[in-house]
Amino acid sequence: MRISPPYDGADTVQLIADGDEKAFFEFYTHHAKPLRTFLLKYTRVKTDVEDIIQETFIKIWLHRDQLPAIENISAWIHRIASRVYLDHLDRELRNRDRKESAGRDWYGAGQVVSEERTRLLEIRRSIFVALNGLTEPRKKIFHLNRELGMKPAQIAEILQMPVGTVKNQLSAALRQVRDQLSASGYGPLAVIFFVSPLF
Amino acid sequence: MDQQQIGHILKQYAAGTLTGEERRELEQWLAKQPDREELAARIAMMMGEEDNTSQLTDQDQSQETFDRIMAADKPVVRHIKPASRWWMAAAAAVLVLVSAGAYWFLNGKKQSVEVAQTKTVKPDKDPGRNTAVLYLADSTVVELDSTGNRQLAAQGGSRVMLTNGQLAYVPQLGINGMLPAYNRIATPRGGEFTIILSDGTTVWLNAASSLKFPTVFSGDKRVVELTGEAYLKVAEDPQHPFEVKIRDVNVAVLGTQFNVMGYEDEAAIITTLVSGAVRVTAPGNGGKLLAPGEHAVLKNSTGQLYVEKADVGEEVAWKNGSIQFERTNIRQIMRQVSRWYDVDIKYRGDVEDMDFTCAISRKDKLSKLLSLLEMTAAVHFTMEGNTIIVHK
Repeated sequence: MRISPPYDGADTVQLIADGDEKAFFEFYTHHAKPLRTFLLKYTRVKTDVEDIIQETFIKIWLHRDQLPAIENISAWIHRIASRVYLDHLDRELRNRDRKESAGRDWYGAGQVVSEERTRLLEIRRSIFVALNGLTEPRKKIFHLNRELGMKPAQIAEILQMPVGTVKNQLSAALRQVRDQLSASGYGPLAVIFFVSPLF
Repeated sequence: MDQQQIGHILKQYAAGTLTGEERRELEQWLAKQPDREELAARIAMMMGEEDNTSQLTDQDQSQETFDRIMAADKPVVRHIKPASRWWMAAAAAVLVLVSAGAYWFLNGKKQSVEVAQTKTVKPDKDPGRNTAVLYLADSTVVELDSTGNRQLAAQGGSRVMLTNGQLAYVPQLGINGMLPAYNRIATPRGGEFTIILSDGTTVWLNAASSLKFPTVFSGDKRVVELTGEAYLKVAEDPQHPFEVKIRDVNVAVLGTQFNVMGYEDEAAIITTLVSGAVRVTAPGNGGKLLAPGEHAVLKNSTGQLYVEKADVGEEVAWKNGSIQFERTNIRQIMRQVSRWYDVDIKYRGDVEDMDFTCAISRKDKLSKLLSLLEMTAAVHFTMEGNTIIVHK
């Protein structure tokens, strides 16, 4: 039987699903390594490496409640990253088409480096819109979990409700955020259904 | 498509040496859905084959990226300064317990908690809007707002039009060699306005700012003078370089988009380049050339001009309708609040030097931003008249 490494172990993954940042940090540090190695080789502008990693892991983080159900986490992460990378590649190629046809290159600087940053800003705004739209009880639970770093068990005690309900509410909030991202054109991650058979 | 072929083409792309044929092949792969899927699968495999034990990135960079990831679904993040980390961590733990207790106390039990004896007003104010004042060359003063589309004047070779909340200078044909007249547009606190100059350059003027410009550009250079903050999209004209002067700083431009921030109560004049190219100069400093994504900073205290990578999203957020801060000091946040919401700021008691990360819409009322900041339990606000009081 395969023994899971600590950053992908059942405990860690459950912690991440419940919103534990420290556990996610270990997970991120480990899994970002092969991505950085790949991206440093295959991107034109080095500053885009971090932006691609950022977008990839934001998407993973927003799917944290589904992590425990994923069979091959590495493969899943690489699928997400490869799509973010291809979208980036696609945009870069189109951008260069535009620049070349316009024919200007004063001082040799023709590239709009900020497009990735603008994109990330848009993603953040989309997420914020979704969070804003949460109903009050759900918003409160999400806030306690994210802003104050509380575990579901603690939240359950404070709000006098079953732990299962708290977890469901957190999950539902994440679903709303993912739907909003989809609606704004920054999702979905249908790849999940292909890569993680539940049986 | 095989692995080797893909690896080769992507390497070429990264080096900027794609042949026309390779590029077409890549574009085709990207354009057709089944091909794109397969390409994605292969790239995922390549990522899986990469060595995951090397330490290629510096820790700070990795940490910074992680912080940004965490900030994605945390509207406001309070940053603990590393210097005082050990006791801050303890204080933060106490903070969490206290807040948790308060939450439970206020929600679980039906008891009212009297926090203060005096009736405190929940701080709120409407956001800024489209409003400015235009000073014409003949000393006429015109109030500008979003209402009414009309011609305001014919000045020195241009017709001045107000359309859909934007001011536009339309050059009149057949008028040459006239001495240009200078106009000035100024926004108050709580105002913003967009103006299109006679050469087609668009200027977004932020609150508490002003722009002095000729009604028609003549001569070798196109020159404008700025106070406060503006985002400019300069019309292409290789024959006539565009210049923005703001106090000691001079920004020389061709066709390009950039932001200049030079409020007198901020510590520096910052020029941020979005696209194109600019050269920034200041007395005693050589000319600094900017590449997109960089900004030039002239520190008021030292008079030194330097160039570094910018957080473009954050620096032009205002022009895109957002209020965005990344690890920004509370006092700097409140200065921006003061300018956009037209309120005064006072600090009461021992308000710590804390940093926040947040992103919201500029069109929201002030209470929204303040309540987000208060959610971190690190700062509180009350309002007296038109003054926001910041306290612990």
